[in-house]
Amino acid sequence: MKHRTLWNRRHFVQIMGISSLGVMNSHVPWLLEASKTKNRVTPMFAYVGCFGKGQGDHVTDHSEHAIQVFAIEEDCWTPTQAVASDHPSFLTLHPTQRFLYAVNEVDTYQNLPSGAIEAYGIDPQSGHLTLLNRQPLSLSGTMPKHLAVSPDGRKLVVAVHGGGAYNVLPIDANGHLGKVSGIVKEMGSGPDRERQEASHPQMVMFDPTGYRLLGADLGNDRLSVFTLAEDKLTVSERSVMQPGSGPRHMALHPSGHLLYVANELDASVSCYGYDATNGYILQRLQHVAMLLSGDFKERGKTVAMAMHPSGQFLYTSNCHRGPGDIGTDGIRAWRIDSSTGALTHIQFQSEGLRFVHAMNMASDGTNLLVLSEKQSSILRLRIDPTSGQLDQPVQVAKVPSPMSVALKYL
Amino acid sequence: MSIETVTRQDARYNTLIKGKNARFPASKEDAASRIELCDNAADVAEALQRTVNAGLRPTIRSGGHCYEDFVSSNPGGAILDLSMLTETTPVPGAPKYRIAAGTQLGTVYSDLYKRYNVTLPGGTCGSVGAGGHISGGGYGLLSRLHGLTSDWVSAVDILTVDASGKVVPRRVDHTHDSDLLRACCGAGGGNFGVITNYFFDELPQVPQEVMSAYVMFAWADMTEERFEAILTTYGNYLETRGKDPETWGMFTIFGLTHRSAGHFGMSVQFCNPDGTCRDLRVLNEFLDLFASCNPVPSTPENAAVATGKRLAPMHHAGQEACSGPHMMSRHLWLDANVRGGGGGGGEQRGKYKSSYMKRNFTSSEVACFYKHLTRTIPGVDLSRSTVSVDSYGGAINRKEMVASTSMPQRASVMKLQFMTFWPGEEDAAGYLAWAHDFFSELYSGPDADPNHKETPYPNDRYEGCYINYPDKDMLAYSFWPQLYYGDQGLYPFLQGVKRRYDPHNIFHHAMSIRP
Repeated sequence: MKHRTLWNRRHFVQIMGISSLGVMNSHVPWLLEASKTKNRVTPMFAYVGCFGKGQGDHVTDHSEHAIQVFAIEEDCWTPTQAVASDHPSFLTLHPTQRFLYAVNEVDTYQNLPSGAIEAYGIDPQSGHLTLLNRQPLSLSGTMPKHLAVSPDGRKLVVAVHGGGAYNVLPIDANGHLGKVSGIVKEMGSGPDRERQEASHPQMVMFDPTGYRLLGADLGNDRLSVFTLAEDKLTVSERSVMQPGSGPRHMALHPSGHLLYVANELDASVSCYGYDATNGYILQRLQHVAMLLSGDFKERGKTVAMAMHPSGQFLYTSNCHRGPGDIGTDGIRAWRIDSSTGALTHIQFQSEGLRFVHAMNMASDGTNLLVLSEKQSSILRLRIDPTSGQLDQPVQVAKVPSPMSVALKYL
Repeated sequence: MSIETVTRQDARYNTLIKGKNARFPASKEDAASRIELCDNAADVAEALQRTVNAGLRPTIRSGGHCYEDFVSSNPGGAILDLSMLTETTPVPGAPKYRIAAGTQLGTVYSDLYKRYNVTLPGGTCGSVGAGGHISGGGYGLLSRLHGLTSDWVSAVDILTVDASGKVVPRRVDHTHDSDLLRACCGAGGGNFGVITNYFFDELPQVPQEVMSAYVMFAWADMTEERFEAILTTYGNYLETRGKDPETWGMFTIFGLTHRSAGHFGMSVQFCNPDGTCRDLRVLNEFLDLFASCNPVPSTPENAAVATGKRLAPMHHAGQEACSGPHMMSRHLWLDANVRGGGGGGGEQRGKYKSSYMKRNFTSSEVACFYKHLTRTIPGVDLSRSTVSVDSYGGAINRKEMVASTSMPQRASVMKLQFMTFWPGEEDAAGYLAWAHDFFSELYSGPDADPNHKETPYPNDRYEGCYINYPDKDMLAYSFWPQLYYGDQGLYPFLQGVKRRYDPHNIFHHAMSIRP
């Protein structure tokens, strides 16, 4: 792998287009608007949730976990502030980009069994964070994994892994989080006794309506459609997937009629039809196994997915450690047939990519940001706009155990 | 009748959303969105299934006496109200005696007496519901003679929720799901499922009559030396002579009430082990012990103060006082035990703590009691703040019950209940601080386990806390489960039961068994 500590102008321009919300950003009008406006696509600050000590001039303390703030100028990311935060495994920005929200992926908060969500205000000049407040999740709602802010910026919905639940928290005009106002407790289990003994929601995302959400539940092999109204979440549709598949990540095709699901446990990707008007998950159109060898157990795990904004390409990450820690993990690039949902394999890029935990797609489709937890680095891979092929990875920042990144453009 | 669902729009909502402790729910956001009033076990199963299907959290209420917010704090969830499940008639094919979970203790005693001349050695508050009381190991005035309520349970009807989210009705006994039966005998309510019936193959016979007596002391001329003499006389008796089976028919509630109340003292109920009051030597011997401690005559007022209103004063109710050296009165057992009163009302706010003691009080402990019971805090009226030191042990301490129940405390001679009450929400802080400071200091002394300061962690003097007197302050200690369930393997057992029968942790509250 090639490490470059200094960027040239061209690289900087390429990274500018990277969005903060990865696969979800295409459904957040604010960011789409930002990405469409040429003079606004320059990322000014990066926020990285990491399971390690932070760095910079404004390290508030030396806690084990932090949200690391980077100022992005020209061709380098400069760490400027580290805010202590307990297991900040997923970050997302408010649509106005004035506030940042982080999940605390913990099983105890204030001596009770629950995770928590943090709200931060962002200084528009320095990009520095100030904690606004912290709210516990519902009792027994531990180890939250993911959250989504409604396009109107008034609600936040959390996928709660440990308690098998989804929580809704209201957001006030100043970015503060209110108490949990809606709870949906999920049932069901799957054949994997270790990972699927109970419901374990992994991800939530709003569909194009802005009031409907999709949830992926690894524990019960289920996708759900929820309706958000008056601070409450109600289930409007269930879709049962292949037993033992373990859905983890979702991405909607820009057309809104194809739903791709990365299944962690059986290392596969499925494509379903989606009726965005009525909120129905339709029949499965495609299913692709990420086979690394003939043995089922050797397939590894599909942990992340990113949709290209053109709708032509899909990227999936696969983690696998074989004997002697020899990795066969990397990122696969796929071409999408937007009429059938079919995936055609383009490329398997593994060089320099180990333990890819998360991926974020640039909103203009020029780059893919890759977070490698164990390599403690954030890498950028250029995307060929015609072929969808990925270039060699370039390290843009060194951060201890990065789990999630959010970029502020405005 | 079908299930009666009370939602926010219903005129009954504001009444039914609360239990007996007016502290909870602490805010509108914490309140349940509905109360499902059930008439029978089939209703409960239907209401539970509906609740689970809707993704809501169920909490369960029978008598509504939970000291903490385990039931009432249920944001947007559903309270399954079992208070109308009050049947005590037999069920074909089940053990002889049946008590439905919503039955209040007063009715339990009355019905069992009339039907069978037996009773349950349960608590003194007649409006407490059987559901929570028995599952948390309830005890009372006959417990030294007959053990805990949980010791007598033979079978339980319980609704659990399986991995697929389906409600499963079970009758668990010593041969069917016996691990769940054991868990239902002391681990506390709201942990594994919804108990709808308790069954008993046998129950103890009712005493024919009981004696009632009071020993009262005035704070006005109390000295710390005399206070110590009183407490250590009491504790010494229970640690020594009180272990003799001939004393087990005696149960004492010693209310150490704050000085501002004017008095403190004890209420005694006594019968011989055969359920008669023919031989009063044990009672007189006990009362003699305090003759030199300057007791004062009891009055309805000071007797009520001394017991924290857990008991209605008996021998001031017009019955004929007995002759003899001590003031006492004789009552038919049912009259003495089915009075309907006692316990917290729906308007008061209270905080409770508990501990088990294996030994008499030490000087250092007495000094701490004296300090906090005579302490004054501006703006805080502590006249309704009491530490109720109940006699314990006797038949409770049968070691063989450790393995068959989830009540591991089988070596204590006293059980302490710390109680403080206040009128308005805005007053809470001072009262909570008094209780917290008192308890923390008491268990930080030279007798406390240095690795578990501020708590009565099990050691040679203490035996932890009582789950039916739950105290969320204990959550601040990582070892809180060991305070309630001991450190001899019961808690891991209960966690296994939890995972097996409630794989989704549907039944949870702040101090429920962690999966």
